[in-house]
Amino acid sequence: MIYFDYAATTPVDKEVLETYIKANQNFFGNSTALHKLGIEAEYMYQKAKKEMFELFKLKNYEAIYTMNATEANNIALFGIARKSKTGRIITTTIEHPSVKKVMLELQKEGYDVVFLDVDEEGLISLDDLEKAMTKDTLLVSIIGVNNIAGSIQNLKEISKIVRKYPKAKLHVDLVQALGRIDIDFQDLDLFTFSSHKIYGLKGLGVLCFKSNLDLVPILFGSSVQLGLKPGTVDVPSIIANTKALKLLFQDQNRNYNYVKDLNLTLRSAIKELPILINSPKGASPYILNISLPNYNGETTQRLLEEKGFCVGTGSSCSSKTKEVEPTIYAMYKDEKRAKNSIRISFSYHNSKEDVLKLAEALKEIVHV
Amino acid sequence: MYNIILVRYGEMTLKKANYKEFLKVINANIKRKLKKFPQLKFTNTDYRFYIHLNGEDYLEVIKVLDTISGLASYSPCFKTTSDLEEIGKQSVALIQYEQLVGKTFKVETKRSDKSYPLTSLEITKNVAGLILRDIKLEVDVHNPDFILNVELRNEGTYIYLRNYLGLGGLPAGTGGSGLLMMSGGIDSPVAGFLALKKGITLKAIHFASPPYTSDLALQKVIDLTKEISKYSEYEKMELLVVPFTEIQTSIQKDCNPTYLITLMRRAMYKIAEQVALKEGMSIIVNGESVGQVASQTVESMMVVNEVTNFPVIRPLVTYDKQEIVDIAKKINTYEVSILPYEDCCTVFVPKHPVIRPTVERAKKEETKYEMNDLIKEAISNIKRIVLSYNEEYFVGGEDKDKYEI
Repeated sequence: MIYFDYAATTPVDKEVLETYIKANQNFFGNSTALHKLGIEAEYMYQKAKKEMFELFKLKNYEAIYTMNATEANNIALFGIARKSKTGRIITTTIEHPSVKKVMLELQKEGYDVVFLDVDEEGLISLDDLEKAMTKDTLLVSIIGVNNIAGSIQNLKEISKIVRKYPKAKLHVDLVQALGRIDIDFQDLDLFTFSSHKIYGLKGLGVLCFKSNLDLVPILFGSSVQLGLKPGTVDVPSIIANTKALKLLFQDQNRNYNYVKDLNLTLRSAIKELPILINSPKGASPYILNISLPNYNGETTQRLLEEKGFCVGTGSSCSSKTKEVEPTIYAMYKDEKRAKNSIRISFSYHNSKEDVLKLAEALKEIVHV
Repeated sequence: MYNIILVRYGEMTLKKANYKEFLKVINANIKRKLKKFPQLKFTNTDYRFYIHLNGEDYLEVIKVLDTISGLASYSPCFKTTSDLEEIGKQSVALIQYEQLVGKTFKVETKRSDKSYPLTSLEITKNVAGLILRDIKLEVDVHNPDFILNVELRNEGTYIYLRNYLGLGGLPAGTGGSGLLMMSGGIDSPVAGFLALKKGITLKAIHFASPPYTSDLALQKVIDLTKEISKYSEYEKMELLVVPFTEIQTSIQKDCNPTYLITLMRRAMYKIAEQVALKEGMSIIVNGESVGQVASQTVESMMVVNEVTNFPVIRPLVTYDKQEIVDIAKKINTYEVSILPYEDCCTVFVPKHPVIRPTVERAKKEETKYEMNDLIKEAISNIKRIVLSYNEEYFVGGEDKDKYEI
């Protein structure tokens, strides 16, 4: 099976796994315990956090380790919104369900939630954002790299606009962006990512935010992790996450160029076929979303599976619901195109040969 | 916005004959401690030191300056030409940068470039005029929100708004050397900090009583020593750990319990004296403060101190607890100091320690245990830990790879 669904999840890196196993043996103590093993675990927890922020070149930020990015997004968004009883919250129509569904909840709670639409490039209009901003805007939450089409939002400019309103905080879901494209983290008030998308382990999400932000908790228990994610801290996973980040950051540019080449190879190999390319030109090279003319996404996925390929349809977190893929629909307002879309996502693990084989398989499926 | 930091030396400027020596040491200290900022360039005159930022973050640099003893104050400046229009323009930019528009201000000018055609007062008036032309501010010469300082010197003009107070004291490494008795409580790190501030080079001595005291208690002492080592010349400090269990248990077994603390402290002083001599240090420093606990009454101090002719310096002797806590918080040791681990002074505490001990009685009690042999043995088993402010040290963590991620 050739795997092209790296945006859904990545296999754990061998070195990361070794780090995890070693950490589980050496630092299994509860980080809140006062004996030596506890103190060592606490020390390693703080060290892993510190080294992570060094990679991000950030000072005065805090990190909360959660179960996954969904939980991290929930803690972040409710945490900021509920500091005020009312107010405006701005987001987009192409968010991951872990943001979108929270927004719908907040709307029920009475917040004035504005969904910014995107153009065919999958980008919000900065003008729209400027117009939507008000002095009682509490939060702007925008996905950095969209998980379906790979469109990259202009975070620099978005941040400049949000900064003009001192009350408003900018949250960015970086799940598909981290370690893949360059990010100026200090432009963001809060951001989230997931370890299993960066060759780390499943079961760990991360929320980073400026230390001076006082989030309102949605979970209750001990005072561990600022009381925002109470419960025993998974120190080995946190250590492994820092390892994964180190490896990824060290090779980010090389990987980027390599994957970009794979992406261009596939684009050009299917250029003559009756296949619509949904990912914009400026999208992250790690994601290529396409629509076949004759099958819906799920059928295409199964046909490719028969031929030995794993690809994605929609967000894997909602792939079992039957709704039209919202991001592609938002971009092209074309129901069939959205329904027929599949997501091919790359890694440095893929070879050019694999990509050409995939192109062949697609050609067979569209009967050319 | 800022391109230079103007640094002013402290008390050492009162020195006459050996001023140049102090100057050499403090300039070397500043340069060494700022090594981690590769873009910085340094220049100095006899009474001022200039740090050229070349793009480095001035606030980060100031954080390091805050650990350098012997400095009176520093101001981040914008250095420009002596052209009045330019001075006005840059002053406006600086005021906007510091978000001071709308406040009240006054301009103060110093002119050491005596060839400059205008007097200080004329410059002040001109610069204020140029600023008021461009932004909304109000002049208040009596009680302004901020002062814009303009210094015209031969090499250029320095404009600045803020004056950060330095640590004071004397340059690290110019004050001789001492042995700090380090318990792990709130007071001893503060006493150590005050001695370091006066330029005294320190090593620390700690009395550990395993298994009654834990590795964690030792870790706490290590962390505290490491924390104050940032004020030393090379950001390093040695910690000498004395195995003290035998002495304590012997005293407890054989001597009058009311004298336990007195005898224990006399033994500590004896050990400190011998170690200080061996290490070539001139004084002993500790965190004692009058009346804080039974062993720190002046009578107790006299009886304990009687064992040594070495000068014992107690920087905190007249400080109130709250004053000590305030400093501990400022130097980042308080949070560590209050961690709840037993130390050798808290494990063996008699119910009713003697408050006014006498030398005769102490001496008599001491004959009841093998004091000299035990002291000799303790000294020969001292463990030396070299700590560096920038390096983690974990008790039992000799296997450094274990902690690598």
